[in-house]
Amino acid sequence: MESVVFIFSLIDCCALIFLSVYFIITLSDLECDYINARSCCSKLNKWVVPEVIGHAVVTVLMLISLHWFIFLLNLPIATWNIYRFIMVPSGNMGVFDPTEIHNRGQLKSHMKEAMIKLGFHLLCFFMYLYREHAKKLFLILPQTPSQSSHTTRNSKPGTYMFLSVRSSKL
Amino acid sequence: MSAPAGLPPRPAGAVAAYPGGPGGSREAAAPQGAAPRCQNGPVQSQMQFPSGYGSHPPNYSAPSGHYSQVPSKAVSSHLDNQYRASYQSPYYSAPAQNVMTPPVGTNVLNTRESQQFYNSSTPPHTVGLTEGPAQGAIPSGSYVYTSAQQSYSAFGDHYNTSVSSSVASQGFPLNSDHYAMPVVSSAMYPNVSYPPAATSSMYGQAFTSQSLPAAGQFKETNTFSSQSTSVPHSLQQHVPVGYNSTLSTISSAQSFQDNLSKSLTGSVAKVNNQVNRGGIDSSQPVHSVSQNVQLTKPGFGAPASSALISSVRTPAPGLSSQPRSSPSITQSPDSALQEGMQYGGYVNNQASSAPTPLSSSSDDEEEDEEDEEAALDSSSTTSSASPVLNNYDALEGGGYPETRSVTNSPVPTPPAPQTSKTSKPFGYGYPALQPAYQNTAPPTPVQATNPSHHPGFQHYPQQYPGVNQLSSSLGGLSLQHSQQPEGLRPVNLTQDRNILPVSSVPAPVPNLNSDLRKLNCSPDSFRCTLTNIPQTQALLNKAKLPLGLLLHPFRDLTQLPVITSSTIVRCRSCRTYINPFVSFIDQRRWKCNLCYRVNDVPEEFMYNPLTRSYGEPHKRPEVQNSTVEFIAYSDYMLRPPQPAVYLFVLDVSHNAVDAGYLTIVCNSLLENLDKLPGDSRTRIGFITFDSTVQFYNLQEGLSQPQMLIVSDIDDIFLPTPDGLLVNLHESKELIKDLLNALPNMFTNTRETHSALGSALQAAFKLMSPTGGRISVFQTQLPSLGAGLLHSREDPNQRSSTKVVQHLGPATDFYKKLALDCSGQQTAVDLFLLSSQYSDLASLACMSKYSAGCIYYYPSFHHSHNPAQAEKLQKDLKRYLTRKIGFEAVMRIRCTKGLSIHTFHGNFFVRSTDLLSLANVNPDAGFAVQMSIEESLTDTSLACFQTALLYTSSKGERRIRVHTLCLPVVNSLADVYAGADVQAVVCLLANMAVDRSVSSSLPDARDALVNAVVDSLSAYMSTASNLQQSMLIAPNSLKLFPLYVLALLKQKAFRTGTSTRLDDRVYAMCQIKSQPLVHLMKMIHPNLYRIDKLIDESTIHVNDRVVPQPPLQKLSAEKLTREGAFLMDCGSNFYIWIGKNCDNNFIKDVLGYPNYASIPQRMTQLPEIDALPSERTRSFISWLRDNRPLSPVLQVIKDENPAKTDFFQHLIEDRTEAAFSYYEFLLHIQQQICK
Repeated sequence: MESVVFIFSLIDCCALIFLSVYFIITLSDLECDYINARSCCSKLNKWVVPEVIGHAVVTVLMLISLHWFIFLLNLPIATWNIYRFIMVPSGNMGVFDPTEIHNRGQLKSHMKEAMIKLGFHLLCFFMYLYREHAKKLFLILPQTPSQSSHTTRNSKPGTYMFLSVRSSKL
Repeated sequence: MSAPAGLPPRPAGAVAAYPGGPGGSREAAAPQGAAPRCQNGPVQSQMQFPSGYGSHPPNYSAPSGHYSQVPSKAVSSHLDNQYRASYQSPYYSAPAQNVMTPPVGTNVLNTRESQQFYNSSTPPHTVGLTEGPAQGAIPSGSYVYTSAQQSYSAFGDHYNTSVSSSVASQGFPLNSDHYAMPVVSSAMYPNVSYPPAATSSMYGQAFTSQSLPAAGQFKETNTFSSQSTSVPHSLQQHVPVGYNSTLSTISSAQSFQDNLSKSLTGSVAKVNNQVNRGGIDSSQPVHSVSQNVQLTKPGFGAPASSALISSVRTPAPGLSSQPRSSPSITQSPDSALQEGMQYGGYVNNQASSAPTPLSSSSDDEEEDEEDEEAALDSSSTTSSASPVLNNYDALEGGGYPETRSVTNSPVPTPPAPQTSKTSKPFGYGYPALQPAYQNTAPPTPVQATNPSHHPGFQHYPQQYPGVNQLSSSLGGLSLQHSQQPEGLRPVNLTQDRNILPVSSVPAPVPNLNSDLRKLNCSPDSFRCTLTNIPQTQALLNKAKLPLGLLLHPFRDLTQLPVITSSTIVRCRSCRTYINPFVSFIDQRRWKCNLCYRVNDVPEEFMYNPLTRSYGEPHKRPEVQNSTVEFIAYSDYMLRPPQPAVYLFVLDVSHNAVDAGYLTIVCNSLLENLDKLPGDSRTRIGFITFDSTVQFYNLQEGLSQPQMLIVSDIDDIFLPTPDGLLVNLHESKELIKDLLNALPNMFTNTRETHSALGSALQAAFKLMSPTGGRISVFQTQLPSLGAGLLHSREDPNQRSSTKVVQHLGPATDFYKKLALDCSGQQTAVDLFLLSSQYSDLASLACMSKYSAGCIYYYPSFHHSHNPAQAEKLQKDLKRYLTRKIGFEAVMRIRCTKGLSIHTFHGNFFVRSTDLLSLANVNPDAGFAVQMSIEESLTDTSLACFQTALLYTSSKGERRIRVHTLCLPVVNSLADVYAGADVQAVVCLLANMAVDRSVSSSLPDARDALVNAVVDSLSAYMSTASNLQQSMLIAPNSLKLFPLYVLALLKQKAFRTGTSTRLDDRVYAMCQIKSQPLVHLMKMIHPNLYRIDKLIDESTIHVNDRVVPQPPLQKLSAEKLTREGAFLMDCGSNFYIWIGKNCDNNFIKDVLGYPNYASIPQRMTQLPEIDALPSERTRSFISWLRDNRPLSPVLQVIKDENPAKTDFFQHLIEDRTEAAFSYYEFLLHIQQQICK
């Protein structure tokens, strides 16, 4: 079950990474004037909802599978996505509005946002990936004494592993 | 579904002849002056002259010098005429004497003599020369006389110019000889007679008229040139010698020096000084003198030049008043002149060049300067049918809007400083170098007049008196505060209550050297919020002022150089069009002033078709004018130019018929059908809609218009493939039939629904193959089909002080439609005539993003609201006949390091700096905000270029290019000194509109207040010596709080006063799309007292006497019951009559016996044959002449319900919801102290 969750997250995360890259490429195309604002925005707006859903699913999944830390990590970004989607003014053509994207540095902020998301998704990707392996690792390795106190409350190996990673860094 | 329905047949009207040329024909190709052009960018030019150059090209003098122009002579020789002899001989002799005679006194005499000569000779000249336009200019003898005198001075000017020009002309390859020249000449100057004060109106005129190459008089100049050559030459040679003190072998040189030393003690020394200073900077002493002073680093150069100017200013009135010219000097100018004349178009440049020296050197009174300017202006109107200047006043006032930019010939940088220096001996000792800013102050008033160019040249006069007063006061000021630029003079806002200028507020003049300033774009077309660009973003942030541009690119111009050329020269990397501010490195290469790339000058550019000369790329009109228009070739077309297509989409629901707008629209259309801009291909079509959409088949050959009704509004289609958009000329009868029938066709309709969305979709389908203009007339909320809207306004919230909602669109339907239209080069113009809420916020989107325009007539009714009906009529007249450009794109480029981040106006931003404008009209304004991305430390000038590519209504592809050049400064004080308060306020208003839509209205209001608080507190913290307890503003920003308060009380941003949502949104739309001139009137109307106009100072415009009452504060305290006041709100005139107003006034002006008998609704002044009436009417019509839309006049009595409209504009007063001006100041002060 655990591995299914993470494998799914991994795939989902891959998709989100690709999506972020696609956003960045399209936006930079717009920046360089290879495409016009209208087509750029219609392309991007198509993928806003999938992105929101994709991310929300992972977040919810983490909540359900009680991976608190990952859930909390994902929560702000997911909230931001949803907030951004909801708060689009009624007259706008979506999150990316061709009439506004060149104004007030919106293009830059969109770009920045896409970059941050890419970074975040990459981080998540490796985290999920590591979790997969870590779980196996964990199964193989017996727990060390210093970690036992942490593990007592969390029976989930995943969480434990994460904590162990942190403590080792500390 | 489409059912043809017959229209009542109509008698066929007479076939109207095809209109010659409505809108687009105004700009005739304006030839450009041939004045020698030198490198523009002072700084750059400096850098480009390696010391090696000195030895380099002596041969340059030949081609670039004006004296010996072989081709030109040949051309003109056959033009020989009688003037030549008489004219020439006196002239010549004079110079000779002058040169030789050392004492100043004799010189003066001589000059006078020559002047006399001139006078005598000139009149015939002018008569002979002035063909057409100029003819009228000499109505009265006295006039002629004055002008002749002035002309003299003009000569002097030329002189100056020529001197400078000779230098300049060699621009690139400066050899030391040439450079020296200017020095010499300047030295001579004092000798000869420097002050060119008097205006050179006459000359300019005469030349102007001659601008056509064929005109007879060129001959004489030619001869001149040949003779004169020798003199200048000798000068050239000697000068370097003398100055360098290497060899003084040549006797003439010697004598010259003698002269100098005798007549002007100390002048030489000064010159030497200059030289030395120059020497420090660059290896070539002579060179550096002239160059250094002017342009280079602000720190150094500025002070020097200022010193010059100041010295100039002082000269005693006596001197200045006598126009004198030194013979030797004159010659060279003459030759220059002659060139210009021969080249026809170029003449104007010449004329203009003359002024440059003047302005820099000889203004002891601003009047003089003004005159000069005027002279320039007049002279510059070469090609266009220039308005005739009837008298002196007119002349003074007469500036053609564009003249400044057009006329300004680049006067080479070096001369200006020099002249001023030389003139020092005369000037009663301004103590040497004054701070750089000193020089800004004097020019300000003068230039001030310029900025406000209005389409009508009459505008000038208006400011004239004001300027004089201003200037005199300024003069005093500059003496007192010699350490401070005028813009920085602290003004205590809480104490100084009379901060309004006497007449309209002038635009500040960039602190550039005089020749660049002359070349610069007119502030009416192109204005920057900070005329001194801060060097870094950090500095800009410190100043707390927004940096941005306000553009009015497609303004109606009376004169515009149009260039037809096979190559349009542009920078290869940034695609900047070549402009007056580029620098020529040598004859073959030029350096882009925006990206600094060095480009080749193409072969074609070397040849100047207007002057028929070769090898003078710097004299091409592109390089002589900062506003030019190119005829573009096929590279600039995506498809062949399309015909002008006009589609009218008319609401014919019950509501619309009831309002009765159809009659007005159809009548206006009938009247102006022949004046619609276009050519023989012009097409026109009509769609009407209620709950269905009706098309009209007007195909040629039909006996009567055919109505096709489509009731399937959910899936709209075109009922017939052709015949809906028809050729205006082929189907004119059918169109007239339809227009006559339309108003009565729907009189009994019971249809109350409106399917606007579907009608628009149909219109889009109809227009998409060609593009064009859709004019939509809508009277209610669209209630059916696509794009239907619901009422969102809660009347109870109208006067809420809290959040105002629904400022943004309710649906994206109209935005999408607009973008589709924009993609197909179609613009949608909206006329909203409604009595109830119609959700303008949503509807406006159709125009906003398709580059259309929006007109709104609240509570329109043809009979119940005659004021609105009249307004619609007038607006329509203008709307239908004004110029129009199709398929336009606009690009704004700026110097590397600056970047544009936000655009305001009606358009679609297609890519980062490309604005797509389906249509462009002369009443559209734009604004952009900029940021400084890289610091501008390595440049002293920042340039901005707007290029507007459009298809004219005649099917020509044209590019209109404006270029603005501004200095870069590195101190906060300089930034404040150069702030343009009107531009700042307009830009802030634009930003505030964005803020209130994207965030909230209170937010926007806070931001406005904070803008004042921040900038003033930042200013006060820079000026350490100020008392913190007072509210101090720099002079340049003294109106800032007042304007911001006006903005806060504007319909768009006010709270607490009942404002309908549509009114508010409309005000916001106007703020976004109006050009600065109109917007300022809207924000801060002008108030005049008009019951005592007879006592006021007057100006003369076109034989009319126009009184010039001073501006009044917008406060009820100014409204006395005994008076009558006129408020000019841009689109409205209100005349408020006080209760105890003089009965004579009421009788003479309003035509009623007493106050009580004045009717409630009065929208016109009767024509009464009495002086007060005449004066009042001439004043009002003069105000009207200056704007494209003629405003509606309303007479308001004390008890009139329209009184509130009037009183809401009194923004200095307290209202129940808002501060008075004084309270606002206290509030700001409080905020600052926090």
